[in-house]
Amino acid sequence: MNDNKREQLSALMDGEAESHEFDALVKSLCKRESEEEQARWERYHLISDVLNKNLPDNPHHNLSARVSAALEDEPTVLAPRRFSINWKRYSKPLVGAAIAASVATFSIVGLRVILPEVTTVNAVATSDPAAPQLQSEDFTTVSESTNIKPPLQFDDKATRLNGYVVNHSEFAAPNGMQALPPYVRVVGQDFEQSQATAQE
Amino acid sequence: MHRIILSLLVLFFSSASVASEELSQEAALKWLQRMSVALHSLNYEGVFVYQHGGQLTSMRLVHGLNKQGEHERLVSLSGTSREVIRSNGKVTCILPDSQSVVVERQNQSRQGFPYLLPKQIEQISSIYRFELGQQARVSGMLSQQILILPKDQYRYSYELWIDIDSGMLVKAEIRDKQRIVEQFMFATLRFMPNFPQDLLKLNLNKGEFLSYNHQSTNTAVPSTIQATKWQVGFLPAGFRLLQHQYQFQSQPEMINPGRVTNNEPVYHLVYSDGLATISVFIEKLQQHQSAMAGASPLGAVNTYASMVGHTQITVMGEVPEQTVREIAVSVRYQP
Repeated sequence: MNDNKREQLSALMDGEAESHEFDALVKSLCKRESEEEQARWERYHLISDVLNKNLPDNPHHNLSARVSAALEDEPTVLAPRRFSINWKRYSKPLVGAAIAASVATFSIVGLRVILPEVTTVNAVATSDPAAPQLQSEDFTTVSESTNIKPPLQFDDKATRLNGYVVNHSEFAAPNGMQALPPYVRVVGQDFEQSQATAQE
Repeated sequence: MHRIILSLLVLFFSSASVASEELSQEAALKWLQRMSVALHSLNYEGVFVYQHGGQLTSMRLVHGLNKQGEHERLVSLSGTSREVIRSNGKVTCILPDSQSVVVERQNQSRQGFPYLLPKQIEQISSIYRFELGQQARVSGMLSQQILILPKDQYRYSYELWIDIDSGMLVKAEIRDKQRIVEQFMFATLRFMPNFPQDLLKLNLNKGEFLSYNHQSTNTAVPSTIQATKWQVGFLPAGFRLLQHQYQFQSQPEMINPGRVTNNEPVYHLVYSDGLATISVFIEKLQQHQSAMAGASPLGAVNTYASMVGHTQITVMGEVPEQTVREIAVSVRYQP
C-alpha cells in the first residue's frame, strides 16, 4: 500500500476525506482483495478504540493522556506542536511519521557517524516533508571536508545492535520475571537503535 | 502508667502495619507466580498496544504449548512488519528494515519454562518491594494491580495488571522513578483450548533478506577476546552472573553484495537481579566496523557503548541509563 493510500484512509477515518474521494475509497476498502487496506482500517479503529474506551476508569491511568503527555515531552517525529487527546488529530502525525521514518532511517544511520547534533537533522528530515532531505551525497561532502573517514557500512552498527538486542532478549526472557512479552523491543523498535554515536 | 499504655499501643499498631505489609507482599508474590505460570502454559492470542518514548505501536501475540514445547509469535501491526517466532529452542527474527532474518538456536540449558522459583523470589525480595494494589477493569477483564518498587535508583519500578480469572498479564507499565518508559496493554485477548495451528506458519514477504545464524557456545574457542582478562568493575547490588558464552554471527546465507559481517565471536555476559537482566557484550572490532559510543534507549532497554582500545564494550539491559553507563565505564582489561 502506498503512502498516499494510507493518508487517504487516515483522512477517511477522521471524516476528513474529500467528498469526491469518499465513494471511491469506501468502494476500494470493501473489495474482497483489499485485505491489506481492511487490516489497516481495522488497526486505525483498534487504536482509536483503545485510546477512547478500553481503559480503566481512573483518568490518571488514561493511556491516551499519557501518550500525549509523553509526546509533548519528547521532541520526536511523532510530536506535533500542540497535541490534543483528540483521535482525529492524533491519527495524522502517526501516519505521517511512518512515512517520514521510512525516508529518514538510512540517512540517520549514516549521519550519526559524522554529525554530533543529529537530533536536529532528524527533526528537520522527519517533521517537515518539505524540508530538504539529507542525501548520502551531502554526507560524502561533509566527510571529505572534515577529513573524517566515512563508514564502509551504513548500517553495520544497526545490524550489530539488532543482534545484541536479539541475544539479550533471549536471555532476558527465561531469566527475569517478564513484565512484557519477550522480544517486544525487537519487534517494536524503530530507528532509535542507531542513536549511539560513533567514534572515529 | 499512661506512658506504658501509649508505648504498648504504638508497638501494637506498628507491628500491625508491618504485618499487613508482609501480607501484601506475600499476596503480590503469589499473584506474580500465578502470572508466570499463565504466561507460559496457556494458549492465547491477542493484540496489544505498546508505547515507548513518543511511539505507539500495536502488535499481535500468539502463544501456544504442544508436545514439542512452547511456541510464540510476535508480529508488529504498525510500521514495518517485524516478526519474531520462538519455537522450541529456536528464535527467528524477521526484520525487513535491516533486511535481515536472525535465527538463533538456544542452548539446551536455556530451554524450558521461566517460572518464578522460590529461590528467585528470595533474591528479588531483598532489592524490590512488592505491593498488592487495587482491582479494576483492564481490557474488559477484572484485574489485580501489583506494584514492584525498587529499593535503589539502579532499577525500574513496575506496575502490572493481572486478569483475576486466568492469571494472565494484561497490562504493564515500567517506570524510571515517576516517568513511564514503557507500557503495554492488551486490547483484545482470547484464550483457546487447543494449540493455534497457524502459529508456526512462516510468512516471509518477497524481497531480499539476509539470514543470520547466531550460535553460542560455552566452550573455549580460539578468539581474540581473552575472556578471563576482562573485568566488570561495577554492578548494582543483587545482580549475579548467570551465564557467559561466545556468540557467533555467521555469514549471511543470502549475500547482499557489499555487506560484511563479523566472524569474530562476541563475548556475552548475562547478569540478573531476578527481575531485570543486563548483558555485557565484548567484541574486538574489525577494520570495516565502526565504533559505537554513548547511550541509546530502546523502550525500557538502555544501551551504553564504549571503547577500550579496539574492543567494543556494549552494556544493555532493562535498567535506567545511569546503570548501564556506570557498568560500561567500569569494564577493564587486566592483562
